[in-house]
Amino acid sequence: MHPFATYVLRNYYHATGWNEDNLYANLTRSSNAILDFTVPRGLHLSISKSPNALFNTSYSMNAMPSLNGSVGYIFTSCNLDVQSSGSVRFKDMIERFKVYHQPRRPEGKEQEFRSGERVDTRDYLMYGRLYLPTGRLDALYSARLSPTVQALVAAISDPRSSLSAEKRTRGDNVSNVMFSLQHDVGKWCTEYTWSAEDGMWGVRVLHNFGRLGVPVEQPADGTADPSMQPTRSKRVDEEDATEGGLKGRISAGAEFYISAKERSAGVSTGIRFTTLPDATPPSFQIPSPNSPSSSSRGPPSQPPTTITALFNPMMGHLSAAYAARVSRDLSLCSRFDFNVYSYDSEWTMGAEWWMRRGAPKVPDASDEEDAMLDSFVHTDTTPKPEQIIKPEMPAQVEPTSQPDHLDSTADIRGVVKARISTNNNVSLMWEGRIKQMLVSLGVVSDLSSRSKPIKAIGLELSYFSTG
Amino acid sequence: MPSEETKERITKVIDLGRTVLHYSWIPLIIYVGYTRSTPQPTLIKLISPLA
Repeated sequence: MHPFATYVLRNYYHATGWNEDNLYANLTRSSNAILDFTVPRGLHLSISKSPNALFNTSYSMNAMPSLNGSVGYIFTSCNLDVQSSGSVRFKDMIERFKVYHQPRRPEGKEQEFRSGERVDTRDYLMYGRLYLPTGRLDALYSARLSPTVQALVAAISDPRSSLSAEKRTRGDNVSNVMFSLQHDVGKWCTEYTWSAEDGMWGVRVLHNFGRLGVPVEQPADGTADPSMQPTRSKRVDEEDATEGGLKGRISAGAEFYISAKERSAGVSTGIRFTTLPDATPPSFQIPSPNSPSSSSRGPPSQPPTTITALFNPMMGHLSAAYAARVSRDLSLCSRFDFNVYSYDSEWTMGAEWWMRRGAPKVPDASDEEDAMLDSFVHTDTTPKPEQIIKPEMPAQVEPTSQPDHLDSTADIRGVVKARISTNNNVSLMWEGRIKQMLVSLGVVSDLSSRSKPIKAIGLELSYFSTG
Repeated sequence: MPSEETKERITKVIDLGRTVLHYSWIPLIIYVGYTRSTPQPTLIKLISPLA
């Protein structure tokens, strides 16, 4: 389950039209969602509230390994549509397998002019979290410098580590500040980072092959139904297109980092193949959950699949993952890690299973539709170049699609994630909603150990409200 | 090349700046949130989710 701050951050990215998936760091996001989920340890409680659309407050407490807590505050310059834990779309709170849409060039918000002067300001987010009783502070500042450039400053400040010089020399100093500049033009995304503690410079590049996602042209006359399109007559010698194989797009990326202070450097490369989401019909054709026609929609033409390969030539580490949604509610993933120098290897398998309440009313309210709706929210909010001032605000577009989101996923009761790997670790986690609270329950066990078969067990409760 | 004294001074200034930021960052967020919000909520509503 996403922590509340992550949920707000993603909401902020969505509201400002920033595509956080188009980063090299997120290349393996789909397989990581199934295989690298974090099982809560001990007891976590968190209570959050957004008193208004700009401000969010979060208190959290951990108990059982040791008692500690934290208070967090987030301020955003733009209005966010933060829901309460009882009404939030459940899938928005879960890191899950998803086939991401073709990246688009991010569009800035429309310019606002008042008496000839530009009055709109750049969007920014401020986040601070103070841990008690240690006094450690996590801070994040994110600003959108231009439609395609975003700057991030993230800092960890621990007052204890600055007091003792010997700790610092031992490398215990956790205080750090990191600057990051992200430049996303859709086809390319580059990220430059600098970390103060070890003086590490980094560059990450991601390139998307194929054409960019373009906003769907909505026909004005409403004759977009494929069955009504005039069919081209077939030539005598024309062969049918060969079916089979997956249709998709390829992204490739690389990362390079160097630190003069630590005299170290590193490089890593990666490639990803992901299937295209099914062709998206215009928004008025998306079947509403209650309409009878929705049940006639066929299954997706190909299973949503993501294949990734990462290679770190200096460390000799190779990692290949294959993730696919095999049925509406079940996604599977398998990953093989191998080191060419030490011959260390690990094979991890995982599954993600969505549990629904009884017989679902909508048989195919799957992610494709969610993704479609997402894309339409995105498409609708994309201002056309010829429009300098767009009449509809994004905030006004979103609520129209929100009820669809809620209805189509309202029957989801929870999700079970499981992973098993060749190092004998088995993890199992259930996440769901009980009353108005989001609950996550997990266990990590070591099958090879007879004396201590359960390595960790945890329960996380999260409640947030608005107003 | 700066002298040892200058180096020490720079380190002190950086440390001071870090301490100031450490203790003023969250009050700054609350202050910005309080002044930019319309209508202005009560301060306790911003500080505590339980209010």
